[in-house]
Amino acid sequence: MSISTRGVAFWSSVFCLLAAEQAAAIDYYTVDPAHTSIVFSVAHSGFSYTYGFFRKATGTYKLDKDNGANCSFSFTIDANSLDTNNQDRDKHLRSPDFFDVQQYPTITFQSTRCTASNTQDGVIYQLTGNLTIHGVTKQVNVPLRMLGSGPGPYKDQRTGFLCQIELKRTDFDMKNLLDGNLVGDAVGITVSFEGSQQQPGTAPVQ
Amino acid sequence: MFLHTFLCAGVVPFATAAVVAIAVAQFGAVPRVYWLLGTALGFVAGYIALKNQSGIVPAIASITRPQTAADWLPIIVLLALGVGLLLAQSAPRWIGIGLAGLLALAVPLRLLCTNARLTSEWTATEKLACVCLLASAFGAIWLTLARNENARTAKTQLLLLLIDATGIAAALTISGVLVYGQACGSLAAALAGTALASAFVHWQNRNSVDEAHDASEAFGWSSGFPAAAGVITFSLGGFIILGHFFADLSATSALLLFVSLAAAGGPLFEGLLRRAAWQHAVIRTLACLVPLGVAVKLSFG
Repeated sequence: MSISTRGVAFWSSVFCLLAAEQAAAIDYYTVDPAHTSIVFSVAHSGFSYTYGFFRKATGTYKLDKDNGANCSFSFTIDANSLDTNNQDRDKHLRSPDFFDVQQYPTITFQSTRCTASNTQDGVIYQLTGNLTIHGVTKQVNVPLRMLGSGPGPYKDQRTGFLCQIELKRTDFDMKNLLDGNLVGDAVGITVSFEGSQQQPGTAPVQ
Repeated sequence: MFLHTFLCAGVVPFATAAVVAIAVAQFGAVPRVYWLLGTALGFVAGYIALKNQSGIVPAIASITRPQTAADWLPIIVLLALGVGLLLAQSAPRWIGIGLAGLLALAVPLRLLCTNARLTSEWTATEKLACVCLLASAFGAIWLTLARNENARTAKTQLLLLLIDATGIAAALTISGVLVYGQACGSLAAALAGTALASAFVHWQNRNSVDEAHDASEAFGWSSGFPAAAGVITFSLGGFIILGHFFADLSATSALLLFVSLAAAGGPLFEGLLRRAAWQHAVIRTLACLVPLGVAVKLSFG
């Protein structure tokens, strides 16, 4: 039985419509650096926690409200932008004793898998991805809570997120000053960011 | 932490250097050879000990598969050891000097090629000029340290080299890089261990002392430590360069540390050698310690 030309055209149209609808369901966002905060905390000699920021970060992400598996997130942080409110300490943290920013100037995260679930606290995205710090790449799991979604003050479409995780710096080959817990191994990280939806026609995220 | 640093950057390189130097001397090696082996292997042992925070295997792996720029320095020191041994043997001199020149050129290239700012922001001309300048500095210091074989000044020079290595360690630590400071400390300990071993070998063969016209020569110091010039130059010089390009050691401090290093070990003018021994020692000490002191002071900056 041969398939008629009209039949091929019909099914092609159906597939194209489905593909277009699928593409339309995915929204692309660019991280807004002005509304992105990356805060870390680390224990000092068992007496206190020292808090610091990374002041420069860029990123993009794509969201599929219908299918969490299609979502992905990509972040790049300028390691040199760290700030703990003490210049001498910042200098030391940037040095080869810790981040070695001259050799490893960026911290990156690229998600490889994503699931989304609706909870009492809103939509939670469970990300699995590759986190690279100090030239060492580790797979990490990151819970990402969507804080809000809707039109922003500049009439753009925005989404905002919060994530809180704990890492061990030794996993990323930063092993100095561990004796006596002078600088703790566990590092608490809080990231909150907003993204502005990209206009159609702009380059999609990777 | 201080006990750990003392053990890894002090005891381990000191003991390794002493044991290696004595063991090699027992097989009839001349001072040039056991000084080279003691200093180089002592430094490498200290570096591995400092890296031994997650076990000995990862520590050795950090040298066999270097990740950071500093991890290349033990390999560079072992290459300098190889060239030094070649120069200490009866191989044609031009081969040794050619290899030393190649090493002096390759070391800044290797150390700086992972520096993101330098590789992305500097022009090709700036990079070339920088590598040529650093290669010249390495070559000049190596030649300066290696040329000196004056028994009369050896004790002062050795003491100043030890102070210099410790001062460079202090300047780097104050500049914000503890690991570089610790590693420089391990070179100082390796030098001290080799010097002690050299004196021990002298004590063992004390019958020959009476025949020697100077105790420093009998200790094997005057002909010994100039042979380790390559090891001293690339370890301390390498860390000075890394301190400037990867941390906050200023260019002025780095230059002063290089001057201090050259003044500690290098031969002074012939005119100065004709002066009394104490005058010579004072001049050399000032030439070495003044720039070192200023560099350490500037590091607090």
